Amino acid sequence: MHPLSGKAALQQIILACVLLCLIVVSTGMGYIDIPVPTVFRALWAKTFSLRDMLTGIQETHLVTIFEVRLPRILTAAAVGAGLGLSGAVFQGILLNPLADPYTLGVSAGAAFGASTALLFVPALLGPYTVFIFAFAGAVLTLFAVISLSSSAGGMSSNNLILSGVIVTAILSAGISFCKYLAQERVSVIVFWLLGSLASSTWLEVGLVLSVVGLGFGICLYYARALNIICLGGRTASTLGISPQRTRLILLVTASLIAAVCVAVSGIIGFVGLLVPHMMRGVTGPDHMKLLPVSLLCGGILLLGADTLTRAVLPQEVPIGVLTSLLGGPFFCYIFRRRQMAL
Amino acid sequence: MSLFRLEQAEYCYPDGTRAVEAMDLAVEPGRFYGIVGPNGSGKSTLLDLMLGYKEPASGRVLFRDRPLSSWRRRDLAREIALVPQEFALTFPFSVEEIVFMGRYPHIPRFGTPGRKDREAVLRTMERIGIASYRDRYITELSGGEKQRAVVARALVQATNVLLLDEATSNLDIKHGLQLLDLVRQRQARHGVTVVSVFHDLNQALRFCDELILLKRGRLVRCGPAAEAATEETLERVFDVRAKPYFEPSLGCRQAVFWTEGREIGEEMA
Repeated sequence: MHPLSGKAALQQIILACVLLCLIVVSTGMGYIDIPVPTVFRALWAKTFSLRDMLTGIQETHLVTIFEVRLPRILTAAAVGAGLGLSGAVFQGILLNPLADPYTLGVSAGAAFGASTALLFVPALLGPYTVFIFAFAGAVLTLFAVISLSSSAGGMSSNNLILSGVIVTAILSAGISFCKYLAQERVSVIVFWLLGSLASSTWLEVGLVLSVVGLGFGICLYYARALNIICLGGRTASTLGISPQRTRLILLVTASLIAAVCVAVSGIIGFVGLLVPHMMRGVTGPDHMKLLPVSLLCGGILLLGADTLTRAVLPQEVPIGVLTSLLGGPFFCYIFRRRQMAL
Repeated sequence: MSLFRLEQAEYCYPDGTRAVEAMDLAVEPGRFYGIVGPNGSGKSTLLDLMLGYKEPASGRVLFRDRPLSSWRRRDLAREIALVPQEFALTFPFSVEEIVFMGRYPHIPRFGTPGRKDREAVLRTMERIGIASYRDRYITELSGGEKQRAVVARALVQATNVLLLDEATSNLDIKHGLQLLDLVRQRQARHGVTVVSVFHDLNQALRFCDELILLKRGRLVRCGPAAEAATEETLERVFDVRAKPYFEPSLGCRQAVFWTEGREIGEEMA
């Protein structure tokens, strides 16, 4: 509730610098090794439209940087940022530190949409068919869950979580049925579900960045109100907040962010759960501070993981598998340490 | 001009049972009201109606002669503050952060808390004696310390009306009395109107100017504490035998209760 103290501002600046450095370093890493100064020069030149600076850089390097690596790297950072932010908002609204961006079944909805598209109409709407189906699936699921929980006597946390569980269970059966119908083509669905950032395009970068950016603005505007909602709906309403309306706006915003992320990258677990947890230990629960650092840290974490699988590991591991493989044990560690502290 | 006026206000739960029935009530400014009644008599619902948190199914609830529903929430938050019984906090906010939340209705939408807000927070924390642990987490405080932070949060809101919902029921005797003394001081010095739900009738008799006695969602009696708490009214409201008496050491009325079939002093004999 304080104006941003120097400490909070410093944390945000440090994380932003780490993210920028990681983007530059990661761009240089991969099958073709590009020196960091070259990457930096190329990025600088492009950002400020300085054509002269591009002379002397190999054409293959430029193509690798701008056509192959940067779209994937920026998508990874933006998706990670979106999941971190969305997770922090979800945990705040649902007053449940176990909530994540997928609690309301957004991931299952997207997976079901993508599976249907991959199975029946993989090219109905051009190259973005799967994306559009996944996004539509996520949004439809979100509204199904919200209407289900608000008909059951107010939109309480428990109602929302339970509705999410029910709808997810139904959709999981649907996904299984799709896999069964797909028979030998099942691998396409399975690979999509595992999540991947490979073959990201500039269009996707623009889309995710704009949705996450806009969503971040909305969430930050309601950050103080979100703090107060943590005191309970009755107290919040005596402080000039409409708890139902604020929660609905934030739920829809956070879910739409998650929906775009899932539609672009498939299901990437643990980032949205882990990042807000870790960051709450650094900033405390004040959402004015928590949301920006969750955003930045999510981007750093997912970009780091994606760089690991893309450029460091001998064999590319699906990003969704990697985040869960690394995130799971780490989460156990944090969870255990917190139990000790109490 | 009455501060609050209820005109035939009714409230029903979603399942159709009536929590408050055809209630007419006027709350005058500057006085300390106590709402008392047995469990399920509609005490908290009446408070929710006055907060604007629940809307009457029929009838009207007026605040400063305007229906509560026509007030902007933010304006209302500068007029009425609530001290709840307790709040369960999942996240470890610091005491200072909790108290700062009381300034929310005074901070402009796109602004940040100003010097005035910070001074108000600091002054209130000092007056209530919680400044020394302002950086501690609310989740690790004892019941008494936590409740004082909650009261500070409500006082820093700087409202003309203070509503309390069994604010002392989780506190021990000393902390409970301290809290009510503080609220009464606030009433005496700043002319704040207080409406409080009481669990303990004797506390209500001791601190309130006026009593609002409820039973099964109906208003049984509303009036000055000493006049309203008659033997007949108390027995009717609480369904027990009651004997009000004047307690000279407190300078007010108190009451003793016993259930049917057992007279006072029987146990002693």
